[in-house]
Amino acid sequence: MTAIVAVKDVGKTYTTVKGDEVVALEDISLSVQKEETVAIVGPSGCGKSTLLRLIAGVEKQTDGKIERSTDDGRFVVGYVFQDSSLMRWRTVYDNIKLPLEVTNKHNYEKIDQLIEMIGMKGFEKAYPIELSGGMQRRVSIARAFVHEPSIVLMDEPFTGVDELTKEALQHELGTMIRNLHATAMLVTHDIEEAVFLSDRIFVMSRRPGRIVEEVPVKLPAERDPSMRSRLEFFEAAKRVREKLLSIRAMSVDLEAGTP
Amino acid sequence: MSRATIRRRSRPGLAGYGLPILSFVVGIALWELICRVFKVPAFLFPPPSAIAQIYFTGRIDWIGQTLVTLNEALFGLVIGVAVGFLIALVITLSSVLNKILMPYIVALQVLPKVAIAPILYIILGFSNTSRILLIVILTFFPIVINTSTGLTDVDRNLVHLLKSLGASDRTVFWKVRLPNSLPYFFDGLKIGVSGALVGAIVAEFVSSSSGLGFLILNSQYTFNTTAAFGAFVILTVLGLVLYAGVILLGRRLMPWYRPN
Amino acid sequence: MNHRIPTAAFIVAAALVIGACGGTPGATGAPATGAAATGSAAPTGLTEVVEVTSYVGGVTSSAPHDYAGVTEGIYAKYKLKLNFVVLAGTSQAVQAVAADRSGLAFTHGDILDEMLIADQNPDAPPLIGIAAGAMRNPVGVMYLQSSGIKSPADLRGKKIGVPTGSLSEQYLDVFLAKQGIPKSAVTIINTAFAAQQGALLTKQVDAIAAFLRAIASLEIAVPQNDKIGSFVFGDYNLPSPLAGVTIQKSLLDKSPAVARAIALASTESLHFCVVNPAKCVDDFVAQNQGRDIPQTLAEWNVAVRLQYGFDPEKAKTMKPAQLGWYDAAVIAKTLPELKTLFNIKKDFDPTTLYTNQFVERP
Repeated sequence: MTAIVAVKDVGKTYTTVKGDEVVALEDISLSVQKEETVAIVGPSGCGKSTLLRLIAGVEKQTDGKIERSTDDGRFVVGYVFQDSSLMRWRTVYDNIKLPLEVTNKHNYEKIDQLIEMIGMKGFEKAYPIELSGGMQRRVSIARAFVHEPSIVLMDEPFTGVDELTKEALQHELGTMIRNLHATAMLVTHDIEEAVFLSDRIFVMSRRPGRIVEEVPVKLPAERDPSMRSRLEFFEAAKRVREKLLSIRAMSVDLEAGTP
Repeated sequence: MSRATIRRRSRPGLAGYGLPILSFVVGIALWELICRVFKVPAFLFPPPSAIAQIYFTGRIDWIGQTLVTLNEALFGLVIGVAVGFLIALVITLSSVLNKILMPYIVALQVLPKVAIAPILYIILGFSNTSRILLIVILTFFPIVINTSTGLTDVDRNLVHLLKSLGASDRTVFWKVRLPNSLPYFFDGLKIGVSGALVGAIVAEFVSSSSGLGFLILNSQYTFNTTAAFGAFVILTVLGLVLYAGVILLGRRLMPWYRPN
Repeated sequence: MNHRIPTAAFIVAAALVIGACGGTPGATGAPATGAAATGSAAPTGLTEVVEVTSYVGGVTSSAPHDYAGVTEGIYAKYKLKLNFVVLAGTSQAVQAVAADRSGLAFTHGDILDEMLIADQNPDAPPLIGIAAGAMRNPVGVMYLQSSGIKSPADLRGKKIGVPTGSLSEQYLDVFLAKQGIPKSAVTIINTAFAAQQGALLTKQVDAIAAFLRAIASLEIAVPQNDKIGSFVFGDYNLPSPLAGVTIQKSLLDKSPAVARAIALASTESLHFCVVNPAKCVDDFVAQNQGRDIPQTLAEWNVAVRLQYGFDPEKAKTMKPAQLGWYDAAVIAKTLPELKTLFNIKKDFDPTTLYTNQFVERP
């Protein structure tokens, strides 16, 4: 299998306003294979979002390298943010169209395709202000896929959404990823979400963020809500949860002064 | 699949406008009553009935005088808006120019225009150019501040999104910053519009030979307070109309925007 | 100025309009006459219309006759086109004439202001009077009798409203000094010309120092149970500022024909207004809308009598140019007084301050 993205010993250090050095990420190594969905789970502030930005090329890493492979000579990402971050002055149609404009692709029929996929046919001319939060998220997801990116990066896409809507959105997203044969990396602190959507889960420690565990998800490729009741689901979730708890315990000890 | 619904904001119906209109009518009636009951001399505070009549004496060309002032205000406003917008662009795109220009912009804003006016007239001549320049000075500042805020106060995620797609700063500017700044610009315009009217009157007070400001001065001098009030009423109406115009224009150009 | 708002393409029009409307008045004027620059050759009338700025000192109607003169075609007859610029007061108007870059300007100023400007600004262009105006001291103190003021000494401890920096304030200072009242014994309230009468009638101030024509308005507006009193500065031996039509001396030297036209048109307009006050005021108010006509007429009649010292009946028999004659004896006597009272350091040759070359001896 070809790796779309290979992250090798990557580290990121920031300098604060005061001049202190903050190590956000340290020795990160992972890879994402074609048509795979990986999830990164970790406590808040561990650098998950930073890793996404590094892969997207919006920021540059301080150490290590990131190899991006390209099928047809182009490596371009799709991005889904925590807030939908739609352009409120554009219609649904034009919001989804944005990546096509910027990358100079003209297969606009994809836009209609995706609008149908997210179940928002008829809302092409609606403005974000007229949509509910859930609908806005759907649009922002469609925007991430429209230009057939090499990898879709998702930064806690369903934070703040109520439980039931979340599960419905997760199901839609999973289906979309499969139908479009997309490669994806998902950052989340929702363990169930990570298990439901991904093939492998990387657990990240507190800052400085390190990969401390890799948890494979042994579920079939087609996931529907019934998967949540399967044993493999529980097992993967349990492993992830225990690792996260141990991370927390470790840092509590550190705070208390005992190694 | 959940059913999606569109939420549309409701506009105030006739009932919503009823209360302000009623309040206004009651206010006028009270004013008339007080003037009559307390026999307030007209040269001090004329009653609404007298003000209504002053428009028909035939001595004063109300329409002509109003058009003079409105003309000055609108020209000043248009130029002030253009200048303000340009400056906002410049200081947003270049931090060097930002640092260079800001002290002057703030100084101009802080200086009392009534004091600057005579100097302006002497340097540029006692003509409409000076009047309009004064109005420009009074209108451009809110446009600059609001627009530049709108150009910089953008959703960082959108910038990241575009950059991750390989967009240049220029693309980010045209696709994100500029459209984002529109509501902010309109807020500045609302302020600028009243500034333009005030500016026209200030300019006329310092030197003019026609217009509502000139008329107010003349009428004050011979105690024709009723005529002065007549001018005040017109100015108020003009101000309201212009303000409403900006709001309506905003709704037309930004159907996607709902102010809080 | 075109009163119609262009209905389309504001933005395009704005740039054009600035260019069109923004020109300095008078910048286009180029008198074409055959007259010699200076000296004795009698200048002839203008052959082309010359644009001239008339700086009007204050909304205080110090020049209703120029507005009337325009309406009655008098200025047109002398081939002059006037642009009126209204300023806060006489002193500002005189300064504006001095500051006018084209020199094609005049105002109803006074010899006192000519001297003050030359004294304080050696670089300022010298000014000269070409036709006499109101030769009497036009200022006085007005008060409501209910304020308890009966004689000048009663001004002690009172509030007096006057525009700061105006000729009226300067004369007030002189008056108080002559009466032996220290300035600290009165409270001077800075009141704009337009607000003075209102301030007096509403008793915000006990007295005002203003041009005497204000007495007319005050008498009309004063409440039934009160009366207006006044101290006319001329009666207290305060020297007159010696009003007259004031222009830059360079205009007289370079374009005597224009100066002549201004002098003649102005005196003829004045004559018209002295003899036809009602029509004069009608013409004036038509261009200064908002004024009350009966009040303005009453003011003008008072001004003619007390400030100009003219008798309308007698004026009918006089030639207009005679109204503008400077009395050399009066001026010779007044100048030293003005010099002392206003601390003027520079010495002036009287013939540089005024000229009778365009007017006629009565």
